[in-house]
Amino acid sequence: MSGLFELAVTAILTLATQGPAAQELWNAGRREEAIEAWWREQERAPGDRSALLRIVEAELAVHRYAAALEHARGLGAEGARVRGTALYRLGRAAEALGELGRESAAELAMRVDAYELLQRFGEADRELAELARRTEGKSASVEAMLARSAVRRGDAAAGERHFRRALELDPVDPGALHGLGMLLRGGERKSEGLALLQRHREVTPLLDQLEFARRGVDLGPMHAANHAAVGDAQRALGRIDAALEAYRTADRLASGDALVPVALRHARVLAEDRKDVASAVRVLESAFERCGNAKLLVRAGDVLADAGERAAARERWTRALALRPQDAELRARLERAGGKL
Amino acid sequence: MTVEHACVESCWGELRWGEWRRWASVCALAFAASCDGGAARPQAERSSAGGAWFVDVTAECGVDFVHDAGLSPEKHLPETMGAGGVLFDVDADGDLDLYLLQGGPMRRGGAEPGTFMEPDGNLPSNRLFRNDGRGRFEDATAHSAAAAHTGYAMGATVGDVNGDGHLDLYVTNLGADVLLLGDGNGAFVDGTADSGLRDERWTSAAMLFDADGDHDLDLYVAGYVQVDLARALWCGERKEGWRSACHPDAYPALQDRLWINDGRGKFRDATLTHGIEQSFGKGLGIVPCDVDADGDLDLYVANDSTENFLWLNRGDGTFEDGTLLSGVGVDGRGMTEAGMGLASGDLDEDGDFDLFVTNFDDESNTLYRNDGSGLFEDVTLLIGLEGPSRMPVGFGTVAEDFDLDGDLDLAVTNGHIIDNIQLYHDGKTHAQRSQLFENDGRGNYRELEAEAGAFGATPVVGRGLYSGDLDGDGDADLVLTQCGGRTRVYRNVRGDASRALVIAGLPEHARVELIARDTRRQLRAAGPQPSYFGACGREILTALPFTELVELIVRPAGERASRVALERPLAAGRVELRRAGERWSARVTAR
Repeated sequence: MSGLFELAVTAILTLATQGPAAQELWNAGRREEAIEAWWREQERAPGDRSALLRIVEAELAVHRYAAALEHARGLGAEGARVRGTALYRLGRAAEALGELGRESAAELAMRVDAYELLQRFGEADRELAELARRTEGKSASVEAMLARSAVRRGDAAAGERHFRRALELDPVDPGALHGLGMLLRGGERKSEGLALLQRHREVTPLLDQLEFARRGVDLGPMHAANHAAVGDAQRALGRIDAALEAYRTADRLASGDALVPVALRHARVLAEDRKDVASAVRVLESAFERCGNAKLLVRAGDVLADAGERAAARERWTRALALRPQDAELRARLERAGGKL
Repeated sequence: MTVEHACVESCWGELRWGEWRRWASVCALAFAASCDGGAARPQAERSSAGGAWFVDVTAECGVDFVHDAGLSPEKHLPETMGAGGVLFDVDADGDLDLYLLQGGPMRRGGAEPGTFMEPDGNLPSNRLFRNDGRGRFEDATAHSAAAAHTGYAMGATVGDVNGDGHLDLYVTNLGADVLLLGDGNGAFVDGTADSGLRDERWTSAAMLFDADGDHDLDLYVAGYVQVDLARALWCGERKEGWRSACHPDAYPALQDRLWINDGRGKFRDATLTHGIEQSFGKGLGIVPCDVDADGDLDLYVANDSTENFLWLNRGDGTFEDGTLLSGVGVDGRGMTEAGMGLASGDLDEDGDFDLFVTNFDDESNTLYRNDGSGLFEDVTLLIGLEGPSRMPVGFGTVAEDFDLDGDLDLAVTNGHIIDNIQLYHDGKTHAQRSQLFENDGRGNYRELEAEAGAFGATPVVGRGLYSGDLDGDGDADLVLTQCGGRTRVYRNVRGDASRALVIAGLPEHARVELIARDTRRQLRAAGPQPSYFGACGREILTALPFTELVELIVRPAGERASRVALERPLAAGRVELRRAGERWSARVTAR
């Protein structure tokens, strides 16, 4: 479920803002070493439950669910959420239900799924109703879950309503495109059903690309390129907000020349999809200040030139040329624009 | 020869069954003989097994095959695939022999991506094991000639491609595929060059089936992905011991190919003319199945992390893409899955063929229920198969009536592809338990744990799983191939042999309805079923009490159905259904 992915990424990035020493290892992507370092700190102050909780959270982030479960046993009620998450991720649905609460949407989503896995559909539906109340009809994936539940109960009309609502929220929600297409394929609205299924087919490779990119983030959440790949995939799906969020994360994590491709893609979305030239230029210039790569100034000039801001464009190209005086193409571009050499 | 049971009736009047020949002599067959050659011991063994359905007879049955995955530091993707096997009667002596496919040292990359070169040195070969009829096997590789092939094998399919009455094999490899022509006595010659078949890519699954209803076997071959072994990608974390095989998403897909047989074993490539030109799917499983009950064989292809295909046969061997409307391309949530193994069968006993696909971890295996017209619904969650299949990586699967209670149970073998997966998820392992699911008669499934016996007891790196009656007791035994491990053989000790009904000799993939005196019906398909990368036995193993069978309706691919009514109950033993002039006959065996 896509919501869980974002929550997991947030948790990992939050961990990146905590603590000293071990923290640097975590921030550098050396996550197992960071956990070991935290354990060493924990041994010096064994009663520190918040530190232990942090370790367990970190273990969850690196998929050490069995370890997290073991270590969270000493956390009492405070550790129920992490124990529940670990049990769920270990495929122990019935036990997970004994630990998972209802405080967060992520926990509720796990509860719904766990009940469904156990074929306790009535209880799953009750949890889903609570999840829907919590998300206030603003989550496409929850709407698609409500739709599937309705179809399972034989209420096709409610299923259709929820699928359509999901598509309003996210026109490429795979569950809704496919689910509504399946619902309509056999009746009088077969052509609409087929069109939805066709649309689903078109976006499926893009969704797979997104899934692949997310696996990269999961493996290396501190690598900027992985987040930028998520941004690319989201952009291909037309999810511009999600793309920008991924690029911002990538931007934050990148350094040196690795920042260049990130900033270029980030600025492209701002300029082309959002028509926000000022923000695009800001992204490029900010990146230039951090890494000093002239390509960023050249692109900033291009963006400004495309927007008709010739003087501003010439100014960026001129600065870039100062850094790359042998760049004949840039020199020609500047000449065409009437700039001083 | 005495005609004991005449039953000449055909509702369409085309095919009449000429005679039922009671073979009194075969009543003396040593049913249920054990792997060690002993006499029948079903009841005692069931007791000693404590209710278990399967016992592991690998050690004593003569199958001593160990797969060599060719593991390398580069963790090339082919190393993870394992290889399959084929259960077939190589010497026409009435029992199932076993052909097992071998990997070997990893191939070297050729000049171009997707081309391969053999490594130096001696290479291990595929092996052939002959059955003595009681489930004891002897290594017959030395006499199998070209079947001792040393390509880095993936899968195989079996059938008589040239109409000489002997079974042939088509083997897919990491590199050039090979067509092995059988002589009916366990020896093979390489007939690839003369056949017109040529495929030197990385192919995976293959299926011989009669696409165009002309009574010969055509061939569908799944292309997998284009890897460049000379320039291996690095996947996984860049730490010592953490490198892992790459996901197939990292490689471009290869096109599947359809080859049409001229009836004499000469094939022409029909990929671009018969409707499958868009078949770039990273296929791993192929099952022919008449999903829309129009009399021809459609093809369902399980693809790895891309949309599965359903190719609907137009009746002449050309296909149209039926994936979208049928709903079998993705799961019920609209997500692609990593399709591996396949089984088809009437799992909910409603008179049509359903489809079952094994998938990756954090997905689930998927059961698509057919509404009879070829429209399917993902019912995995509803019928109890989602929960147990979320964590394992499913590969080979078979749908068989293991306990002979009249419905189709499911067996699945599992095993991760990442050999260091525990570094990435400490709840996952490379070797995993196989799983057995019992059907409640209405298509709902319950996982059997202790009852699975040896089959589910020991974690394996499972890949192929093939069913067939190895020991002649009428129930379905299992052969399991591992990636980089020993092939296991499991004997079924659960099936009540007094209920067993074995129907052999039918054309490949024929649709068969069995009708009982009380009007109960069973729909079954003649094999071979593909599982993952191989072929199960061709016989139908079912459980309708022999004395209650009153009618059979048989529909071979591309032909009209033939209805055969029995005038009076049959006695135990083996009968042959044969009519002069027909191209096939069937043998029915009961205890």
